Amino acid sequence: MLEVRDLKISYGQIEALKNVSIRVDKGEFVGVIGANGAGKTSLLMALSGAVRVGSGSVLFDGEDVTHLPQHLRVGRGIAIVPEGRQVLGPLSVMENLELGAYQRRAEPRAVIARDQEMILDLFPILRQRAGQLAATLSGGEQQMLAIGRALMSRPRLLLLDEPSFGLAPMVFAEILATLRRLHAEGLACLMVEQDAHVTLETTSRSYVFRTGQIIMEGSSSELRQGGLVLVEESYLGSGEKSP
Amino acid sequence: MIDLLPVLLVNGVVFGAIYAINAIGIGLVYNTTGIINFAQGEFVMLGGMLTAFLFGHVGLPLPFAIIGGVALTVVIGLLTERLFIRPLWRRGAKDWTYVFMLFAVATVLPNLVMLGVGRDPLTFPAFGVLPSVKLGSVMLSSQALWVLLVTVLVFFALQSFFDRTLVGKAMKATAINRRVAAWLGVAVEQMVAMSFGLAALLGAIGGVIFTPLISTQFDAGVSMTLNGFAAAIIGGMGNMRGAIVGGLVIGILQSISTAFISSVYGDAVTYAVLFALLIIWPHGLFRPLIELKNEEI
Repeated sequence: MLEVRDLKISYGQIEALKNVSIRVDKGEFVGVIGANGAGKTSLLMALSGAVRVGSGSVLFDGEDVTHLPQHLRVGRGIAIVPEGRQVLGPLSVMENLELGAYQRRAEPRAVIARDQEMILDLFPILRQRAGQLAATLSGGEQQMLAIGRALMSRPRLLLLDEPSFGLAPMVFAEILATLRRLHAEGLACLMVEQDAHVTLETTSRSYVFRTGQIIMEGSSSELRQGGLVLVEESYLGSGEKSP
Repeated sequence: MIDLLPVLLVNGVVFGAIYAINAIGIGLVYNTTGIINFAQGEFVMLGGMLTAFLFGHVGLPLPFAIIGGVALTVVIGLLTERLFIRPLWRRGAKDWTYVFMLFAVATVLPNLVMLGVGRDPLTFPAFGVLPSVKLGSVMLSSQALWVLLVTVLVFFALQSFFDRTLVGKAMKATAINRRVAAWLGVAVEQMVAMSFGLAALLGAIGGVIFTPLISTQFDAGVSMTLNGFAAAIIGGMGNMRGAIVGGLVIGILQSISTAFISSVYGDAVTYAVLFALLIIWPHGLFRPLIELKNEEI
């Protein structure tokens, strides 16, 4: 479904990604782990079109989307839940959801409204907050809204950037449970996370990044059993910073 | 002198309306781009001049001349974005480069109008239809009533555009966070173009309703820009309600200081009061709805 080949990204002199190749199959839940600055976020920025790709290619369902403008990607079925949630604070919860379906604006309102209802069923707390400004929500609620907003585009691939960011473990566990449920219903997910344990428990396959390169990949259970020591080592000595 | 006050207040409110319209236009462009449109007042001048030209020189009936003048101004607004903003935008120019470009536009447009239409002040007849109204001791002319009515209509039309339509919300989303808006499928460049189109539309409408009151000429845009800019800052940049209040504050200040102090020092007094206001409320009277994050372009 998603196939990334030899992807390179640099910010000026700094190489954020060096020849990264990954793939996500239909309905798969794939993890990317690694320390801060390993290039995980850069990967998602490239996949979602927010940064320019230096070289390499991104294929999605056979289509070359390497240089597809950012705003057209969601229409192809790639939605992102960005790091730090980035809900539209001055707008209401419902408006955030509505804008999640922006590229479906040609569809009948009733269809969009039904999807909105589905999201509110998935995250009942958002129903109570429906009229509130997104900025007034708690971190966990904002994360739910960010996920709900992404789902409103009816994606086939959900990119998740550091969903644990700033959340209490209990709250994150709840969100993970929802993600697993979405995955069980057939949604493919690519999750970038610093928390290796949680990621390896949640995903079926994982890539371990270090300073812009993949240093390990395999089934998450194998990585968990055999390689976790190595995985943990990958977090050491990688003080390099990237946006 | 004091019995003049009601007249001056009403006068100030009428002038405040045009400043408010300009402040809203400046705020719209600021919200989507983060830059100040120093050509805003030129749209007012163009709206008035082109309508007067189509009416007086081409001989169109007034309603058609108005539609033509407004439409042409909107086209010029869209062209401004297309020719001078988008190419820079795509190549990541700094904010001051856009500002300089818009200054250039604000310099060239009046010269083109001078060459094409002439140096003389132009005007066209008041719209009529509406009666003049007596407010206490003050007579509000029919055209002044048009100015107030249209300003109020413009305000509520924009308000419902932003609150009720998906495109309006997408424009707000663009203002809040461009990157997120693009992730949601909003074509940010289109939103920027639309903000210039709307700003030109507002300016042209302002020019059309105002010209029968005071006439207009090729160099009338600069003071419109400055007063609109001041109104936007006093009101809180990008905040529509603030723009209305800011426009009224400046209109009334100018009207009173010109009459009571001196027509020569009127502007100086107005700006002195504005300085004082800004020292007390550095962010303007209303909070900008949106704090742009320029680093996220």
